[in-house]
Amino acid sequence: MALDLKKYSILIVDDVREMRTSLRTIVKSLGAQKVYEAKSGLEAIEQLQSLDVDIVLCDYNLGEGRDGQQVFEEAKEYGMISPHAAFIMITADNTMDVVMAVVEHSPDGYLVKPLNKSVLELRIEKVLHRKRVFKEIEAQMATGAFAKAAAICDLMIDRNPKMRFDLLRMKAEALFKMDDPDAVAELCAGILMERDVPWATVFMGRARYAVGDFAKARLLFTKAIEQNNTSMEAYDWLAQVDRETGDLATAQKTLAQAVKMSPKSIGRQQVLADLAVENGDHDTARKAFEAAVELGVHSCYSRVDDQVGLVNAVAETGGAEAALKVLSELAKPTARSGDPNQEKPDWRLDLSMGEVLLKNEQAVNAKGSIEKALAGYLEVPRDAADPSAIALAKACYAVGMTAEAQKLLDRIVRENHDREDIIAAVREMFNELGMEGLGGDLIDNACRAVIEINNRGVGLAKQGKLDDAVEMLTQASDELPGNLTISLNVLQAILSQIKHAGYTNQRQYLINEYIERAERIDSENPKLGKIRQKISAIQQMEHQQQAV
Amino acid sequence: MEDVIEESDKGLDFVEALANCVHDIKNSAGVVINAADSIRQTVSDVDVAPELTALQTEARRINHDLIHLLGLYKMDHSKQGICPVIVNCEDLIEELVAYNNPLLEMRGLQFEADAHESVEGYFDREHVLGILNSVINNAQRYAHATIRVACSVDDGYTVLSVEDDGDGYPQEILTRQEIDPGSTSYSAGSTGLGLFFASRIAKLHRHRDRVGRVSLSNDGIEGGGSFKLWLP
Repeated sequence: MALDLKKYSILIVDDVREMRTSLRTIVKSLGAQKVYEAKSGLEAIEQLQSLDVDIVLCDYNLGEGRDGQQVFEEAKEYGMISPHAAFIMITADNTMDVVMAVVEHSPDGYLVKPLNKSVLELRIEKVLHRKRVFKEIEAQMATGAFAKAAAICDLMIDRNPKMRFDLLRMKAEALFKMDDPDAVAELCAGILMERDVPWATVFMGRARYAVGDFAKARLLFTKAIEQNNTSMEAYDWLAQVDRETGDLATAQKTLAQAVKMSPKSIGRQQVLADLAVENGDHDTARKAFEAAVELGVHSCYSRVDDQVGLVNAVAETGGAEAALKVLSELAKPTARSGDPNQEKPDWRLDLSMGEVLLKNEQAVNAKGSIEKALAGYLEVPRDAADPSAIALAKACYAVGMTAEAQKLLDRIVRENHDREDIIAAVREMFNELGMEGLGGDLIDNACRAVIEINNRGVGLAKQGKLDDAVEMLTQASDELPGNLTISLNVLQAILSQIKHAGYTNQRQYLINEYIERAERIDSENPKLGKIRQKISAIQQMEHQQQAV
Repeated sequence: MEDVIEESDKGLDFVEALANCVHDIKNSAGVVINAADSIRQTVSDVDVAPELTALQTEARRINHDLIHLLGLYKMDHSKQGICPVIVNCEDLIEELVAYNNPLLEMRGLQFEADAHESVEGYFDREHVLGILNSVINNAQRYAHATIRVACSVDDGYTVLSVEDDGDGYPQEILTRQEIDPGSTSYSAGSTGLGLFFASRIAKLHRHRDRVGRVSLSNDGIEGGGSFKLWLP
């Protein structure tokens, strides 16, 4: 049965014109009618944003700019391609770090050049078939119907014995989501009796980890690495166990090994860098931040934290002069081409510059940088105070910008009066500056102000003045959109309103707005979880009543 | 503004330069292969057929040789490892047929595939594909009429084999204890390097107490050459 690509739209990404032409000829001969081309990573992203593509054939090496892997990650991250689209990576060579980068983040297939029509046809056919087999399972997984997904896996294994292991893995994933680690262990033990499959060993370890048996989990993750030293998830889990049991030094070693094996994973470089900072290992931190910054130039996963971390690590290991040199490199536009929205250096880099200069006793120059950082911070509209601005406030104090510093801190405290860690960090900052007295007052006043508004709103609600309560609390929340307690109280007040005065579309609309706000602040918050439950109960009742 | 290109005062790392160069030629050979393959699809002129076949075969040979060379270099610099996955051998053989059949047809050779859906292996798919493609490309120079690829399970190993109906391997290759990369000669084909590479890759495959290996014999079709890759 020959493959017919008539129904599919296809994007070919390659920087070499001859390759694009050759691939186009092949897919056209397989019936394709809608064929698009991109000659760089940037072009590919632009095409993917505007087109609805079913199949992407993407070369890994795309010259300057994003590589194929980064195109894939960005397209997935921002939902530019449908989950049912097939992304096939093509590489010219099977160098270890390239293969690791590609295999680890699993596009739907990868092909090593040279390839001809028959091979490409075969692979596309396989990938499309695989996508069909997994489509329903993935859809069930996405809606949280994990038991159903697992059942479909079993059904599909009967029909597609060749895909047995992939399907078993998916099933194990579904069983984890059902909080059934014992079933996962049972499934994997069956596979492992047959042969050593590293992922099954990893899943066994995860099942032990889930029930808190860290010692056994560690043994299993170590075993998975022995079975196959390219089993990257095993390293990540092993490091996770070490971290959980407080052995940060070993966790760092494990991740360093993993990074050596698969150096192109920006996420792991970032985790390693952060861990090294925690461990006070500035050398390792510097190397990992350096790698993360370099990989970040064209990656959607780049973080300003990596640049700042690099500057700090270099300052620690090579002194202020070296750090300033790194900063001037980072200020160049080429350091930011990964993020087209970022036209100038982030304020945190200006802050870093100021801090380095301060340490180097160049207060006058430092003040310039810190003013720039503050302007940059205030310029970007943000709906909540950024707790990382505490360092900015501290720098403001150091160069005598007292009023600015206080205003910043007052805002941070009011937005986060319910966050012990942030309040403690602010207090700590004041202590370091020898300003305990003034700091204590500022914190007290700011917290009291928030509590008072909040209590007034809650009091109104208790008196039954629900409309007034909602109005007062929404106003307070709009002034301090980063404050979780207030937004949760808004939700409580609206729920009482619905209970007493009935359900209306407007009230539901308001609920959605504040749920979104609360989720932005802390989507995992247990109080928020309870409110969500109440809301869905109300919605169900509403539906039933409508049905009656 | 032009950048002035200055010679590094570190001097030339000849081995590194050679490796980069090999890499570059290998990719060029890849482009030649693609170009030759697409000419094959568009030109129906029978007159150019033998030359085109030679071009395709030799470009593939260059490509394979350089991949082996580069692979061995990377192994020595510990940049080369294997990345095993679960492979269905029927799919693998299907792909071998797809890649090689057009060329074998031109040479008037028959390509037999003997595969069972249930044979599964756990190995580095791309490396094994590369090795088998190279062996097939070599075998077609010696086969009279048929090349057969097969997979089986033997003594707990997944065995992938390539057999032909030619005159078989020369006795000195079969009696050799060690596979020696230095024995390459044009007349004997490029078996030395290719076999050495195949053997190194096979040895990187381990499962419990078993290690992968390569075996050669003249038990092929009617006493022809037989290449077997044993993967644990």
